[in-house]
Amino acid sequence: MSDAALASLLPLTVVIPIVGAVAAPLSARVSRSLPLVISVLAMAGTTAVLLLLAPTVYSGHILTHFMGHWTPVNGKALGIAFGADAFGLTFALVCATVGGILLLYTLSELGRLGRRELGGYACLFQLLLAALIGSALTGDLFNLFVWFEVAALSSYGLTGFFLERPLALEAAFKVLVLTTIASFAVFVGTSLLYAQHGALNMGQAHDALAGGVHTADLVALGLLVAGFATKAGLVPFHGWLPDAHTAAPGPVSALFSGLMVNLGVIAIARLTLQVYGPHGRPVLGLVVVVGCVSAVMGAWLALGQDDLKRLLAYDTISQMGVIAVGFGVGTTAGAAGATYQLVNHALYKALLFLCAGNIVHATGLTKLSEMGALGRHRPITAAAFIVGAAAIAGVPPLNGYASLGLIHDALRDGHPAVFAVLLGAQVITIAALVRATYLAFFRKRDATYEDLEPIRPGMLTAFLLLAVGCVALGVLPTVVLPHMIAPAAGALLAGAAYSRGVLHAPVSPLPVPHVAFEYFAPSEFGTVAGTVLLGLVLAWWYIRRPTQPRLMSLVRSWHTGSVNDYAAYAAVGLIVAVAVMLTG
Amino acid sequence: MTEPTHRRAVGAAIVAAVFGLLVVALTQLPDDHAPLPAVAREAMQVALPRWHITEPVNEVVYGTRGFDTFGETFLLLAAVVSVVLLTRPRERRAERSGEEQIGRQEEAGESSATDSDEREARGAEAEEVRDRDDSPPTPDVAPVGTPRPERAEEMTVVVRTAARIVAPVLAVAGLYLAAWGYAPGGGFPAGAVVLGVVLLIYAGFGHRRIARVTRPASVELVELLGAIGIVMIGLLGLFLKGSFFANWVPLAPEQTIRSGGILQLFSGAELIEVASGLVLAVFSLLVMRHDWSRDESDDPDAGTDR
Repeated sequence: MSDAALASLLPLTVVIPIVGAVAAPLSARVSRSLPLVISVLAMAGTTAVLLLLAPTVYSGHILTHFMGHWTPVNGKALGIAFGADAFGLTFALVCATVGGILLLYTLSELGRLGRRELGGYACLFQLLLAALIGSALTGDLFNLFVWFEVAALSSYGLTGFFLERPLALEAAFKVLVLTTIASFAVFVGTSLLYAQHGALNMGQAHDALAGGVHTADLVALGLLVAGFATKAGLVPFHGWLPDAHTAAPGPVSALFSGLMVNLGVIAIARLTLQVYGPHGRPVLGLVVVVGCVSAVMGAWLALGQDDLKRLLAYDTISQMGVIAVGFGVGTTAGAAGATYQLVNHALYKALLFLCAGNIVHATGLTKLSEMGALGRHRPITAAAFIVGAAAIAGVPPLNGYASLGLIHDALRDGHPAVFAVLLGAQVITIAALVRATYLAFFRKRDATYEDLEPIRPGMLTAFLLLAVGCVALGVLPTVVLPHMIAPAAGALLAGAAYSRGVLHAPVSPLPVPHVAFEYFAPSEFGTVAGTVLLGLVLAWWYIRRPTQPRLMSLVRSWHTGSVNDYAAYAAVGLIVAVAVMLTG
Repeated sequence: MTEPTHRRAVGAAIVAAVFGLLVVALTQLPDDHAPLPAVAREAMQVALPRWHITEPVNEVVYGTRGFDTFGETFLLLAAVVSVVLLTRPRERRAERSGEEQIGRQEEAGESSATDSDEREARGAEAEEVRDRDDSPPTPDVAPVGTPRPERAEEMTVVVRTAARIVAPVLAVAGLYLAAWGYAPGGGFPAGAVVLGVVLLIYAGFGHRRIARVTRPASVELVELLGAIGIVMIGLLGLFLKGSFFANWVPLAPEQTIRSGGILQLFSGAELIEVASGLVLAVFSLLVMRHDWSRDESDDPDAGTDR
């Protein structure tokens, strides 16, 4: 197939899940499990289309298609472009595959719920996946806003799915309030850019900004970063995230944490590196600072949680911070490490949330203090959880080792202070996960659990696929790095070429940068050994403490649970972001 | 959790600061007299003639940037399905789940301060149901001028007569908005007008009069068929003309009901989707009377699934 014919298939990557979403409530009238079966098939179809495009895109091409053939006139585009570069395609692929696995898991674990509620669930789940794929592939600023909103509206219903928990509706309301603030910021930012330059196409915006950056452009960037940082769950925009993850069904938490927060990080990376490029300099510094704060605070709060899913949710905030730092450094190694880490995070965090959701669903317990000895009662869940936790900890040969190593490489020489902060966050993260693993799976528990339902084949398959993914991406960095991660990082840093590509101009294949990663470097092995050791010590110290440290009480006291406070934090963050853009 | 405190001064300061930043940006934008951006000129000069249409807003919304509207259609679907899901009654489930157990614990942990309010609300609801049972089948049967208190769910003869006259006019106006694509309008606003018609009848005659029309199962079917129609319009463009949402309908002369190619089809399908979606969402909320905090055993809706 020619490149143009291939590119014309791009819209199918959102249309297939959308057709599945429409079919889900209809098929729910026929049978209980049909909506989820259709969903799994739809995600398989989407993956197939993406794989068809993958060889061309990963060889450095940018596949661009203007909907309805409304191509640009004199370099000005009114029509909407989907532009698949290696960066966007990577996340579209991750969304389609991991999304399919999560739907398979749902079918197996929750497939006996009511048929109408399953129809609605499958519909929203696929709409959210379609929105994530669309936002990864779109080359149009307003179209990005549309997909952002589709993702937002689907997430409200999914958050409140288990209505028997009063917490669920409250969480849905918090997500609603904070995401609405975010979408306001994104909308105003996009409108400012359009009013200033008449540009909606990202390539056209890039070219217009290269001619000079105005005050309105900087305010727009501040607003866009604040809006997407809310979706990414970065501090101080993170108030919605822990509640939403706690109350939602396990596979939905996995979807939120593994895939949905990526939307925010991807959009920030695209806007800062590709669209604004060198013209929005202070923003990268801002992203690094926000990333550092998120990494440390998320990890610290994770350490103090008693609710297992809330613990993992705070860890997501921490991980998103680490990834933001990688992108914010703006070097090839940083961008490659962050991209790699984002893919890995989707795998291991989805795995961890499936385990946590499985425990909640099977035992009716949410608190670590009430669990214990689950390693004996649920050995498969325990094994899967340990794989995920070890991957986050960066234990070789799992995937976290390679991606964290790349981010460390990017920081080790030029940014020693940031490097130190991330290592600190890593130690706390490991301590939090070790504590959770010990309390849930290995601590002695006298009472036994009542009739735990067995792990069904679909659940086992999902655990296995995600765990195998964690191992495969870890042991094969020599394959993954040059063929997937390096092209993605190259595309991200080649703003001018991306801009020509999404404007339909002929563009020669992007050079794939060389990303060096020494797997057996003693310094990286030493770093991992050191952080794991310190993490174990910290975990031991924390578990033995009868009361929580004063610093923990202080940070936790900021998280009042009041949506007013969380909205105020986000608004202050927005003000600071814009002010930094204007003065930096 | 304690009642959150309202710090008005802090809130005012934050709002003022955000407002100030937006003002800074707005004053820096090109003013009204600046030439139209190239994109807008393209819409007027290139796209309008190619679609054979004279209405630039419709051209952008359903034509050249129809893909955004496609996305927004499913934004609406997500909103409607979210509302339906969050207002749903309990359904029979084939197995027990841990979440139910947690739900019971979380409820027990909540403060009992709302108990009297809750009891009062339930009492009022029960009374309304009793009231409904001995009322005449339609409000029109009740003789005019009877000195009995009016019910909340029906209106006086004046309002009913007005609704009878206005509803058809409004319905025609709504359909006109969608049908004549060369005038401002289109399926989205027309769908909202259709909801207005339904709500007018509801307000005038009560829920029972339109219960048959607003049955969730059939409205949902219509909505999903509208959504499938929109997807098909786009996909036919891909199969026939090589691009999603490319025009595949022969273009009629300007200023006729068929001008604009797929633009008119899209707008019509949007009317179906938006009208049924909004009706579904609004009536899901209006007739919501499930109560998840009750025990499953005394829930009249339990087991209706089978």
